[in-house]
Amino acid sequence: MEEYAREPCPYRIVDDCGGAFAMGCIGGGVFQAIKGFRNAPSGLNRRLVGSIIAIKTRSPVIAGNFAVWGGMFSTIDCTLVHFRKKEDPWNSIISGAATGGILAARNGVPAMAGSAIIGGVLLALIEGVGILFTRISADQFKNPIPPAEDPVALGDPGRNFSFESASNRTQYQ
Amino acid sequence: MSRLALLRNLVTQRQNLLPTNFARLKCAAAMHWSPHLRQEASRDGGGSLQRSQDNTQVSTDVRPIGEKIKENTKTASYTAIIIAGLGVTCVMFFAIFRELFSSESPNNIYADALRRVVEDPRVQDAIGAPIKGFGETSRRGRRQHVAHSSYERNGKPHMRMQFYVQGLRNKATVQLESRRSDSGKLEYRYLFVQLDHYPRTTIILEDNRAFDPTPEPASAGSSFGNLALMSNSRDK
Repeated sequence: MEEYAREPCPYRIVDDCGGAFAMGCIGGGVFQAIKGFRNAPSGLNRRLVGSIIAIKTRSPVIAGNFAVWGGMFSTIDCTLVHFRKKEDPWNSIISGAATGGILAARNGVPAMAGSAIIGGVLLALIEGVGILFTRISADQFKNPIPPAEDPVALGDPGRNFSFESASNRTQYQ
Repeated sequence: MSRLALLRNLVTQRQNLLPTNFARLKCAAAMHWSPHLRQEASRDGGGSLQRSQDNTQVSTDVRPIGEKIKENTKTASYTAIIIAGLGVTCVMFFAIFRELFSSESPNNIYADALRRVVEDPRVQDAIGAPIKGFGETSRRGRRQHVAHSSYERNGKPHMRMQFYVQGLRNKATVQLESRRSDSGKLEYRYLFVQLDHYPRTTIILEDNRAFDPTPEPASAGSSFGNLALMSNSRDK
C-alpha cells in the first residue's frame, strides 16, 4: 500500500553502502583470483593456492573502499535531495564529484581536484548509459498513434469560455 | 759437433731477424718526416667515409613480408579497438549532454514545470510547503527518471509527462503536455496537479487546449462561431 511506502532517502544510504560492499567483494574477488593465479609459481596446485591467498588478502580492502565510496555518494546525494527539493541527474553528477574530492582529501588539493573531476565524469557517463537504456527500451514500446484523449480530470475544454471565477476551477472527484 | 750446429742455427736466425727490424725502423722514420704519407692517410680516411655513406643508402629492413603483414594487422586491430571505445564514450557523453542542456529534453521541461508548481500558492495551500519533486521510483530508491512520452500531432512535436510532488500534508501527481508554439518556443498545452489522497482535488495551472490548431477554418460569418469552436475542440 502506498501509505506505508517509506521515504527512500535515509534508508537508501545503508542499502547503497551494502550494495557497494557486495560489488567490491565479488568484483574484487574475481580480479584478485585472476591476478593471484598469474603471479603464483608454476603448477596447478600452487596457482590455486596463490589465487586463494590473493583473494583473502586483498578482497576485503577493495570491498571496504567500494563501501566507503557508495556510502559517501549516497549521503551526499540524499543531502542534495533534501536541500534542492528535486531529484534529477545533476544530483548524481555533483555527488560523484564531491565524493571523489572528499575521499582524496589526504593527498592534497591538486589530488582532490583531479579525483573530483574523475568522479564527476564517471557519474556523468553512468547517467548517460542509464538515459540511453531508457530511450532504447522506450523506443521498442513506442505507440505510433498519438493519444487522442485528454485526461479526464481536466474537464470540458469549453469551460475556458465561461465566466466562472478561478476558485471554481477546483472540481471534486 | 751438435753444439756447433746449434750455435750456427742461432747465428743464422739472428742474421735473418736484423733486416726486418731495420726495415720497420726505416718505415717509422719515413712516416714521421714525410708529408706525402700524411696525405695518403687522409685520402684513405675520406675513402672510408665514402664507403660508409654508400652503406647507409641500402635498406636495413630484411624482415620477411609475412611478418610485416602480421604487424600491420595487429596495429590496425588495436587502432580499431581504440576507435570503438572512443565512439562508445562519445555516444554516452552525447546522451548526457543532450539530457542536461537541451531546452527540449525531458529533464529541463520537468525542472521548469516543477518550479511553476512549487511557486503556485494554491498548490502550496493544498499540500503544504516546502514541496519536493521527484520522478518514478526505481528499485534502489532513486527517483530521477521522469515518465514521459513523445509524439507528433498536426506536424508538431508534443511531449506528455508525469511526475510527483510531495509536501508536508499531501502528495500529488503533476501531469502536463508541452508543445512547440508558432514562435518556436515550448509552451504547455495543459498543466495540472491532482492530489493523491483526501480531498483528491485537481488544481489546473494552465489549460491551452482551446488554442489547438483546427484543421478546417471556422466560418467567420456564422452566428454560432463559439459553438463551432467548442464542437471542434470536443471532437478532438
